[in-house]
Amino acid sequence: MTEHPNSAHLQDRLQNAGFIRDVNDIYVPADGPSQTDRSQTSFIGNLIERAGPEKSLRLALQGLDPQLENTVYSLKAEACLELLDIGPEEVCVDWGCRYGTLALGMYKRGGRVIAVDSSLDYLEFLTLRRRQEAVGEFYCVLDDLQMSILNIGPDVVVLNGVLNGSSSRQTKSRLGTVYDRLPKGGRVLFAAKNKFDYSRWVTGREDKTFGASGLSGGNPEGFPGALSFSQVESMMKSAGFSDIQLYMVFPNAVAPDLILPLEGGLRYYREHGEGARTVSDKVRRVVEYFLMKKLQAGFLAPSIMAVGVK
Amino acid sequence: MKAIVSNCTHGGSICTSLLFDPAGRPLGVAKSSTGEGIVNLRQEVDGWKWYNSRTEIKVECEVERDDPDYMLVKIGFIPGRMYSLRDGIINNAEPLFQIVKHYANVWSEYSGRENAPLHGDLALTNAIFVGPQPVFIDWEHFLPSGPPLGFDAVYMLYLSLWFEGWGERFEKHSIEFIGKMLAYLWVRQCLDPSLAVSPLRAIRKIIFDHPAWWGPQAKKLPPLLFSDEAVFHLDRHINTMTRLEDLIGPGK
Repeated sequence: MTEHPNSAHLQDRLQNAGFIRDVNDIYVPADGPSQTDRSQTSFIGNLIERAGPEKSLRLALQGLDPQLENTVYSLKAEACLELLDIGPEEVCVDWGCRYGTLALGMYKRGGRVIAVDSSLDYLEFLTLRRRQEAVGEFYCVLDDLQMSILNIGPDVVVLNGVLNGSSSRQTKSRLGTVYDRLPKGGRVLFAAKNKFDYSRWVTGREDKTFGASGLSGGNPEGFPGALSFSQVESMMKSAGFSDIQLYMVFPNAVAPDLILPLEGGLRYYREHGEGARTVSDKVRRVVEYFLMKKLQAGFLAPSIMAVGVK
Repeated sequence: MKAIVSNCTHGGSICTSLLFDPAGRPLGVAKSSTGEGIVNLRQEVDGWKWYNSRTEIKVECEVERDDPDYMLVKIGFIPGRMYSLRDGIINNAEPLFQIVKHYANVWSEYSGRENAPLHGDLALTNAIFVGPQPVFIDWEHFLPSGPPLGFDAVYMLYLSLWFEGWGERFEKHSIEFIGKMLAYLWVRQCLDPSLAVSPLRAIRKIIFDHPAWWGPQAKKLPPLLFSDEAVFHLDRHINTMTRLEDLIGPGK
């Protein structure tokens, strides 16, 4: 793998922020992690083992869990990165990177990427994935809720669903930490499930696409971390962001079909996704179309994204 | 402010967004981060260049970023009206005819040649009407030398027929409309003889023979979704109506 000419500089920044490179090429806190999640050890371990000497992770994942393979290698997830206008050489942090879909997307857009997770399992997977996908300046970092990695001074931070299990107070405090560490002009992308998501009432199903985040752990309020548009805006504001754009996301933030600005975006709403296969999907599509197109009820969109600029 | 209005639809790998300037004027942006998607974006740029040089309404198309793993193309926004396939053929007869007429105007220079350029996804939903004038969009499958002349127009008509009844129900008026459009193309010398007789069978054969033109999406193209029985009956009906078989002999 060819080293990027500026990689030494970013490596220095990682070391100055208190991280050292371990034998697996993962940066870990020099004083040891305070919280890690190894809940999927057997799955990821099994996956890496199945990948064999050629380390064909994608094929191995396809064999183990085709649906997950679809999600992990989905290009749809990357759409949200278009909201950030990532420029070449910008330092981008994907905080709670899991399988690295967004982190790799940021790399392809020219960013120098730091993929952060609290789970060594995911980071081991991503270290292999990044080698296979021939990426250069891309670092895998073990970090926890203290967010000390942000001391390196990133230009862009992505928090896509990672705070879903957090309480409102925790989310507000973490957004504040992000704001403090960003330079002027730095951007954050924050995604959350919508508390008023219409589809939960239509299908009676909980959208599990975000999943429980290993970084955020359990939810002390016993609430699945969903927020309303006004809550997201208020949290971003109290964190310090003044330039905030709110977006409605359909059907979810992991594989979005449409990401429309809350203000005035519904004029670009249209039916989306592949044909409905079940009666409940058909009902959901009809209801969504009616709510969004006829009633202009954007606040009932399934998920929320917000971009804040410092 | 941006709006992502289309994201990797129909198994493709292009994400399309609208970018608004401070005055609220939109600009289309298409991007991809895969090899296949980047190839399609290059075809999109080539398609617009080809099309712009032959139409009155010019649409700006500019490559903004062209990196090894990422390509971003800006396309001028076209303020206009779009029609829905759900309304069926007869309710959309006028816009469908305008599309066929525009096709004949733009492609007419290829009359008598063996191959013509391919749009690859000409559909009612890929035309924006500025007044009565359609502007064809979505050029990601463009090829400068593709199928015989008339392919895209015939494809567009049968695609409309498919979505009208999901391949199970065919309105007599709709089939007759298709027959009239084929006759129009023939008179305008914009229908290759190989497509004039048994047209549905003919366009299906072209798709079968050239799956690479559409990539992974080829298998899902609506003309391939008609049953063999439906193809036989529809073609027989059209052949009887146009009587082009009498002029040029049975289709191959």
